[in-house]
Amino acid sequence: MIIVRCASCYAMIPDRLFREGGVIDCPACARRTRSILLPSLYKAAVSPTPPKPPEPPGEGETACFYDPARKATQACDHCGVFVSDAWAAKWGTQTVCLKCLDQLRSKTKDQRYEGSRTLWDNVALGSAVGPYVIALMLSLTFFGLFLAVIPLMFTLVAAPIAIFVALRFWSAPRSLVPRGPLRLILALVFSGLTLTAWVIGFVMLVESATH
Amino acid sequence: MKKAFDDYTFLAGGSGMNGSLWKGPDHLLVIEATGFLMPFKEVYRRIDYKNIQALTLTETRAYIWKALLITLPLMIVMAFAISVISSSGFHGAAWGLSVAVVALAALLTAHLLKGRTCLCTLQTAVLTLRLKPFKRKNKSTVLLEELAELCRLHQGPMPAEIPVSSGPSQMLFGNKPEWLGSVLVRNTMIVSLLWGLLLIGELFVDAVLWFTLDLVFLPTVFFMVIPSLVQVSRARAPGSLLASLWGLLLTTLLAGVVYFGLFIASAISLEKTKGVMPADYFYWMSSLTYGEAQAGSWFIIGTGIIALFLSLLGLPSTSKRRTLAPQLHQAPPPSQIQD
Repeated sequence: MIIVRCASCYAMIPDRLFREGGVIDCPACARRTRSILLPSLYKAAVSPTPPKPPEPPGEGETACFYDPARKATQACDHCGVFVSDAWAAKWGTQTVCLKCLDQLRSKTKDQRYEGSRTLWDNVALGSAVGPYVIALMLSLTFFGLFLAVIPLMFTLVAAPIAIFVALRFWSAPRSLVPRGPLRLILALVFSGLTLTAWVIGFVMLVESATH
Repeated sequence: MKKAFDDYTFLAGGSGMNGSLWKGPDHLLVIEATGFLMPFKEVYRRIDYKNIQALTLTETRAYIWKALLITLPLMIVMAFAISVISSSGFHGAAWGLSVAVVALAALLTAHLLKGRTCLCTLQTAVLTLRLKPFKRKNKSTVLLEELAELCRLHQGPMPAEIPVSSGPSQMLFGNKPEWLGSVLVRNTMIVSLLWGLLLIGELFVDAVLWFTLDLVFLPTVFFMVIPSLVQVSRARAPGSLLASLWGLLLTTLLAGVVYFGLFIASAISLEKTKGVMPADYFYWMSSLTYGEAQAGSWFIIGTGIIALFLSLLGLPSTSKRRTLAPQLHQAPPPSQIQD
């Protein structure tokens, strides 16, 4: 059965309902649902491609580098080894072996293959500003007003962390979408001001205690 | 935010927690963000246009609830502002309240102008991916059409012979189980009902116990609503029950904030004008009457009415009437089968 999932409750809805009218009320959650059905939904059903059985290499033919029981059909564009269809992946216009693909996505950090990235500029800014935001949110509630002191105290630890992260990862790649160092600068400024306030407060406390 | 980089062109989203979508030469780049308050990590998914099977948009009721969630505090703050202005003129607190009214009104207008809310998914043979940047129906419909056109370009025409779907005529439901009621949720509704009644009678009954109960019930309702909401969200519960619980959560939070503010402000002014010391303030508050409370009286009664209404709205759905399962068609015993 060809099914389309509701975007809200993920109920499985037969495609024919969308073919008839285009817009239906989801039978599970009763929400108005519209689906655009595309040719590839039916192509697999019309001409399903059965999994290929392993084909051993013939006399004088090259075997797959990773599975010698299979015949090599293509070469990896990155490392150059000959691999079978089962060990190759199409990535845009390139063919890469699965090991190269894994390496490119996790270790080498090639932008075209990268799977994830830590946003160190946001981590720095979050450490610098986050405790204040949490304190503000808590102070807006009746129950959390007194708890707001805790995140404010935490700024003593968070501000140096923010400065360290900002300086350590200054030249590290940020988001995949290019952006400047504004967040890092803001993190440094906020953390600098926080630490200054702590130092002034501490000095005033010591002075008042000594006099 | 940039509108293009390398081979990619911006489609939807931003640099916040919802991530963004980018049109590539032969694939769609989905940037998913994870973090707290702001994204700390981005996950990149590249989905070939040729593999996308369906793009689905479902309208949600968040549009109505969000509008109500903004309208409710707007009405309360507006009523409070009007009563303050009418009693003491346009000074001090009136300015602050007026700014809050304007800000909330602007928020409500912006929300209404953006149009109905929706959820969108992209379906391939191996995954169903939620497209978080698509949140408003009007804009999402246009962008989904644009995306579908790109997919059609890479997939070619529809097969001449579309297979007829076979299988059960009934829809197959998603993961959430059916709502079967809960004792905790029912008790939450009963406690909030009592709290509403206590609030309404607060200014008409001169008793310390009444006032104490009122103060105890407020956090009790708040802390009972949170686990109730968790329970209700895990099942396919009626919308009225969900709305009632969210409304109660907001009302208790708002009431807590306003009471706290009123408590501090009144304590300061009373010590100066009437000589009521903070130690006696609790007793003074408990003996407050409708006439003495002035602007605050409508707030207290209004909060009570809202709590009462919300609990009555949710109470009928807290326990589902259990019915016997329909009898299955029994096959005749083998001896009765005729050849």
